[in-house]
Amino acid sequence: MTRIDCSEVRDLLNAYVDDELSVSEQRAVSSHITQCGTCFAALSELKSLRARLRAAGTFAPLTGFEARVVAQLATSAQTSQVRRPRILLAVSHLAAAAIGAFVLYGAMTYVGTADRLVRDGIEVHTQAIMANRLIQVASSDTHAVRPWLTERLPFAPPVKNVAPAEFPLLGGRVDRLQGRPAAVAVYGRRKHHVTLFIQPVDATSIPPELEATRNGFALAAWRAGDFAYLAVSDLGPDELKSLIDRLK
Amino acid sequence: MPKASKHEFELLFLPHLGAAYSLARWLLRHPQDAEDAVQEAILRAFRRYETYDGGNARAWLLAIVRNICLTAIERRRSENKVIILGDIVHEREQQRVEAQPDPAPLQDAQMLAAEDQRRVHAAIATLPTQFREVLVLREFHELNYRDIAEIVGTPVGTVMSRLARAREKLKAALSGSDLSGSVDMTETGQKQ
Repeated sequence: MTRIDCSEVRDLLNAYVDDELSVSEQRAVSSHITQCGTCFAALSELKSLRARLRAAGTFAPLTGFEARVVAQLATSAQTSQVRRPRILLAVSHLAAAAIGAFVLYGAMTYVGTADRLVRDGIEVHTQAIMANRLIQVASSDTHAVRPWLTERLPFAPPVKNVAPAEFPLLGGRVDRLQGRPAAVAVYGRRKHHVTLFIQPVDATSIPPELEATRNGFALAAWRAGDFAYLAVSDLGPDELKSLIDRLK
Repeated sequence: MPKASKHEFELLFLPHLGAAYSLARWLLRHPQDAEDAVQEAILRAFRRYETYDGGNARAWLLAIVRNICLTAIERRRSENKVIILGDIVHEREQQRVEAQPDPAPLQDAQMLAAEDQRRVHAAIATLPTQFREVLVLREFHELNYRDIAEIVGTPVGTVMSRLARAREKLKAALSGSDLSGSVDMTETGQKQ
């Protein structure tokens, strides 16, 4: 059995009470604390802290919480189809200024949705990184990525590898952006990633043009041909732009 | 989404509402904000259900909850809605409501337990967010290092060292409050 000294034991003690050590480390710590009063005391202290925390307990939701969640879920499962027609109906009632109203409606929709889109874009991007599912098909070959995506989507996304040296294409995945299916191409840049959402213009909430930075992320949207694009990255806006200029 | 998969979603995720609420509550320090954050997280999880890869459902949901909470904290900060002192006072009242729904008079032992709960909770509340979250996930929800690492988006080694520091800080905060009988009510949430 490996012998370890007090400072090594102290480093492992938290993992020891959390049951996260390998069998051999665990044995080494156990044997040490039977012989060392100081480390034994440190361990007891950790254990009593845990007992005290667990006795205190955490916060529980207020009564009826689950019911409220279920109710909200039920409503939202329907609203995605219901909401839009209602707004359109309301707008059409402004018949006197029909054209003006529609222009205004369009403009307002974009102002409101742009904000949500920025949030959702960042959120999908970071969630995918955190959950380690940024890429479902890993390849720098557009002839591999594109058919893979096309098979899984109702459209054929134009995926390009425009700057293999500076922004290599790492792969792609199928995801959703604001509830709509999107093809995602992922580009690398040092240790950063660029998520590029691609949606057909007739089924997208990506505005025709957008440049934004938020919480350290840079975003840009544009359109080309039948497709709307949204790029999200933790790169600086200028660096992101140099990729986008080439994609355009 | 078809009805069957909504049912499946509920079966998978509703059991974790308690943990989701608890995490949100510790991060946001406010019962209503916590409830709102979990509601939003559930909707988001539902919308993105098809991207769920069948892994640990609790960790997946908690990662979304955490993300929403951190965004909310960021927003509060940018709107200068930093919640100081008053929130912690409010929190104490709230703890009693949540922990003791039955307003029967407390016996001595219960009183002591309630007093200790108040101290422990106040001490946790003084921890910076990055330490508070790992401590809560480990001690109250018994998640292992790997799941915590997935939720907070750091390597396992970082979880281990943050937990160790969180416990040291907590011990220090508690020994202070045990001696003086009162707690430091300064907001320290932003310090590293």
